[in-house]
Amino acid sequence: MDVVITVEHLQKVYKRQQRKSGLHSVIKDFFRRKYTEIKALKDINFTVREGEIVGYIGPNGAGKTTTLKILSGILYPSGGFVNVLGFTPWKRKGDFLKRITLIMGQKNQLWWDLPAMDSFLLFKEIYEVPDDIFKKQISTLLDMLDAGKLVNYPVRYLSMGERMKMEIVGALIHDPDIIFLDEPTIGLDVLSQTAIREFLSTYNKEFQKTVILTSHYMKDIEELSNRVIFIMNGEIIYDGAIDKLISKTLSYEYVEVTFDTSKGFVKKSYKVNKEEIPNFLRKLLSDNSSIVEIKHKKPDLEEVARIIMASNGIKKDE
Amino acid sequence: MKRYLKIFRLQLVNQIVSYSIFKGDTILLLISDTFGLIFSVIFFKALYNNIHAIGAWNYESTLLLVGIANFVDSFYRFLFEKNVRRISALVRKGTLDYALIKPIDIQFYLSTGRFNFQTLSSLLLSILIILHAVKLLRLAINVFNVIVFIVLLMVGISLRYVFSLYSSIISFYTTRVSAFHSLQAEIFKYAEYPLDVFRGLTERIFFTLMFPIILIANAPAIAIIQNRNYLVILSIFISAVHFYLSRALLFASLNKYQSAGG
Amino acid sequence: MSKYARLVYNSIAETLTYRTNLVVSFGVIAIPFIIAVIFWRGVFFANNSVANYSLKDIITYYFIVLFIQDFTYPALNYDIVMDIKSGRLNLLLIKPVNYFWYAFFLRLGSNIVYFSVVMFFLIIYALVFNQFLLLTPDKIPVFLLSFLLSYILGRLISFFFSIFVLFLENYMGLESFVNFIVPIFSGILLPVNLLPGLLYKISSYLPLRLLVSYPVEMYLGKENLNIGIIYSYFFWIVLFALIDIFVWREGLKKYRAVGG
Repeated sequence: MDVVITVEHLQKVYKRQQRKSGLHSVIKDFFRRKYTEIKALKDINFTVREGEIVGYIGPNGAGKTTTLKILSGILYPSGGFVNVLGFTPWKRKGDFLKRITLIMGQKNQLWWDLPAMDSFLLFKEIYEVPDDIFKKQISTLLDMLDAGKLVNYPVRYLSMGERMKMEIVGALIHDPDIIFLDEPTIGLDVLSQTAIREFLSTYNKEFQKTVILTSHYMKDIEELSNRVIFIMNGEIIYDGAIDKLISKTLSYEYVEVTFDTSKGFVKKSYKVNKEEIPNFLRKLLSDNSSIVEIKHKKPDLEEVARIIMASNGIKKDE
Repeated sequence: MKRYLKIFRLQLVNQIVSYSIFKGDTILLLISDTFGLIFSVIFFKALYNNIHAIGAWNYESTLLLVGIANFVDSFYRFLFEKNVRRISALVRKGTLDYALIKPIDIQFYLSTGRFNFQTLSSLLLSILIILHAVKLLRLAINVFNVIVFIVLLMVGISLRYVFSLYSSIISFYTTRVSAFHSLQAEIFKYAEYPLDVFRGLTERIFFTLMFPIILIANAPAIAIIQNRNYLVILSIFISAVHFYLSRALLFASLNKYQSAGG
Repeated sequence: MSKYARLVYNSIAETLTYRTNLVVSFGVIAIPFIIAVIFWRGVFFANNSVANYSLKDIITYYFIVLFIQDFTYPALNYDIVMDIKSGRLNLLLIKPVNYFWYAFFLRLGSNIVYFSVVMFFLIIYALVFNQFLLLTPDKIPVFLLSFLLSYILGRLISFFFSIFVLFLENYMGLESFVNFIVPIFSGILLPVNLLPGLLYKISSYLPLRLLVSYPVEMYLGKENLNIGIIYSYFFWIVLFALIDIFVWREGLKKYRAVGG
């Protein structure tokens, strides 16, 4: 499949104002403000193929949102080359904007006091979507999200999960080829998270849309994509399959054993070095006669991410 | 153009629908919106009780100025104010991002769509005052001067909009802009003053070119009272210059926003 | 007293944080005055006097109004209104502070900033526009006394309006009402003496003209702090103090009954 996003040597530098507490510094600030430069993105390189779902992860302030904003044309980079669908995003050509969308979990764009449908009709005009395509797209989206009846209530009456569904419909009305998702499940309950995750997965499979997704919920990423880009302090520290990231970073896996004891079934979990597992099992079986069940579990993305973030980079552990 | 009109109409309908949801405060807001206009009438009534005229302007012609100035102001507030003042909130909260990814003229998108219905009371009252003043002045009305008059009203509304946009553009550079809005709203309150109070040449030039408050009410009033149209071309020219300047500044500021990161 | 000093300090620090806003608010204060000078100069070019006011009188009038109105204008105090509407009042009620003084000193902080700003500018204007200003040093003691009484009365009326919100679902009506009657009847819009007949009559029954008009007229030497005016100051001050106590007591009863 074709490459639809190319990012080369992307850089972004911010200026941020410093401010201390106390009347003295308030007065000092009043006359002269101090700024510090922050390198949000240092040297980012990656490509994305059509139809891929890429999980873009990293701690707060790593540069995830900045990257998405540059890719969608909201921000200028400080340096580097970006090509999305053959366009330079920050030129914000109409033909480019009509083929992308950005969904931000923390920001809403629907009119608060109106039923979502009114906002959709406005977006239809803005994106110049023909009537028949609009109707088809709306009904497809509402079916997939099981949200048909929500469109007629003013948005402020909807729960957060319902509102997010409506935000997603609004953002996809023009049937964009690339979907940028910034924390789409933030603040939602488990049920709504699952619903949105399932929708994204089906939507991607059915229509072969390209998706770049950031999230703090590693479950979102694990269930939706095979590929992750891990960014820390403005640099990519990993780009590839999730399985590989786990096996590359962590040398251990889990063995969960259930014993039959006088007190009933007791479960125990052992952290075992990968190469040691056969020996461990052999020893376990020879030492115990009361084993009911043995399970082999690999660490999940959540765990890897936690370890990487805590140790400030990828290192071989233990 | 057709698409823009359609978007405009759609948003107007949306707004009427959403506005009708809140009935509670409507009457109150409509009433309090006329206070400024009533203050002006009381002020000039009181003043002209004690004097005969300010230069060529008597009570009746000043009443016409008050009507026009308030019409322009209410009309601007009806169509643009909510949108333009919202720009700073969009910049601060980062929701400007959604505007930037829309394939539409961004000035149009940021300037229209939210209507302020509470101004309809002052809009109506100011029209009544204009008609009343025209009657008191026994003006000869013909198609030509009505057209000129309406064109000049539109020029005034556009100037009012542009200066408000200037204030909002400042929000790209500093977080708090409410003071700038108060400042220019304050200055435009004086649009209802008769031209003859501006005696010095510097004053006249400043309030025609830099802060064109003279063009807002005095130009249409002079056109209709004295049938003199020398201000028409000047008005149109100055408002066009300000419009393009504000548009250029808006785009430059959006570029700045894009390069600084919100 | 130090808790109140801290309140004043925080309120000053907050006001100072927003640099641009403050600088521009200088302009917001300056422009009406400059335009008033332009306007009245224009008016007096064509007229010798307006009622018994000369150009100097009028300009000085608006000059002094600028100086005192932030202190004496009995606006709804948003700190109080928001405390009530957000339920934060509950947190203050369990603190060992007197709410009237709490609100008073909170407001004093921004008054002080405004005062410093205005003073700075007033001195500049006084230098620039000195030909339009009337200097009456002998009237200053009377003026200051009257201003002090107006300040006390203004705070009491403002507190009354603000805590009246305890009884209201929505304070916007009250706010509109206040912002409509105060400028007309206090002398902010124009000297009360110039008001057309009926409005003038109404103003003489209200305490509002004591807030702005009287101190200014005293500076101009058009009124004296005679015993009648002193009585009416004390009458309204005592009356509003009593009303405040009553409204606060009854309002809290209602506030507590519905749980804030």
